[in-house]
Amino acid sequence: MQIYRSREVGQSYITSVGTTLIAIAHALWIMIKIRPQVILCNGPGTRLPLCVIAFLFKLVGIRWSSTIYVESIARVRRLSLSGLLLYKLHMVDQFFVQWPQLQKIYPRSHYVGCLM
Amino acid sequence: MGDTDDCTKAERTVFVTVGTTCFDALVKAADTQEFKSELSARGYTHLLFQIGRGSYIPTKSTGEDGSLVVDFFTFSSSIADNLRSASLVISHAGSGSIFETLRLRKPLIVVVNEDLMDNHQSELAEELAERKHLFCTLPQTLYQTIATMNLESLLPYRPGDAAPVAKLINRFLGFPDD
Repeated sequence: MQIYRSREVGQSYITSVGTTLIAIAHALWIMIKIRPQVILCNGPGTRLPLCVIAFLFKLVGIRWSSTIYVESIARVRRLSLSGLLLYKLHMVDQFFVQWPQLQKIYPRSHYVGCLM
Repeated sequence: MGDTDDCTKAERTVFVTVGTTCFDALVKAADTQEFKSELSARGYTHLLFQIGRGSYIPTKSTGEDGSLVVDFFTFSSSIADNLRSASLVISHAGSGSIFETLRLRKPLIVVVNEDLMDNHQSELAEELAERKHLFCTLPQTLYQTIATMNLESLLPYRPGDAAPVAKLINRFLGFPDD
């Protein structure tokens, strides 16, 4: 099953707003269709909409999915934009990072070591 | 006659890869006479470029005059075989290329592309270079890196193990430990 990216590499941030909204609508459809118990994600551009939908569902009391977010191995000293959003807004249940430097800056994250 | 020596000389290939990107600066830097002479001096016999979406075409050479054999291609479905048969890999800073090469225990030089906006990929290359798993450089300093590198100083990279993470996730979800 394919999932829409909210933003392609190099895409302008302005048009990204539009594609993100489409991706969120698609994620909503996926959530209702599959009702996942666990959402485990890693992947630039694809993870934000699904995590946002799962979080919004939780806000209204629909606790279908536990969300586990794994930050990219390429992120050593700074989080990705989606990672930063999900972390700051407390939007996922578990936030995994693959480098110890990130765990020190973001103490609510779990350092799980390099997964490659 | 001297020919038999040339025939039995072991093939040592330097593989330059830019993945799916366009990284003309790297291909150009490795396509200079100076660079190729240095590779020959270090015992390399072949130089193979994977140029991706690049527009700069390196000069092919059959190596008949005793110089480096040079060839190139744009894309292939998998560069695993190229990595496996290389004696030295020079790669862009993509995490896929980096880890594929490290897992094959090949000596690796990562060249960072400063033209990329928000070049977070250099973080990974710099961190792994600090841990001595690879050399990290720029196109303009690639020659110096080749000329001064000591491959013996590189430390092997131990691939990650996802089993503890799987256990962590299982525990969080309430599954009993096996």
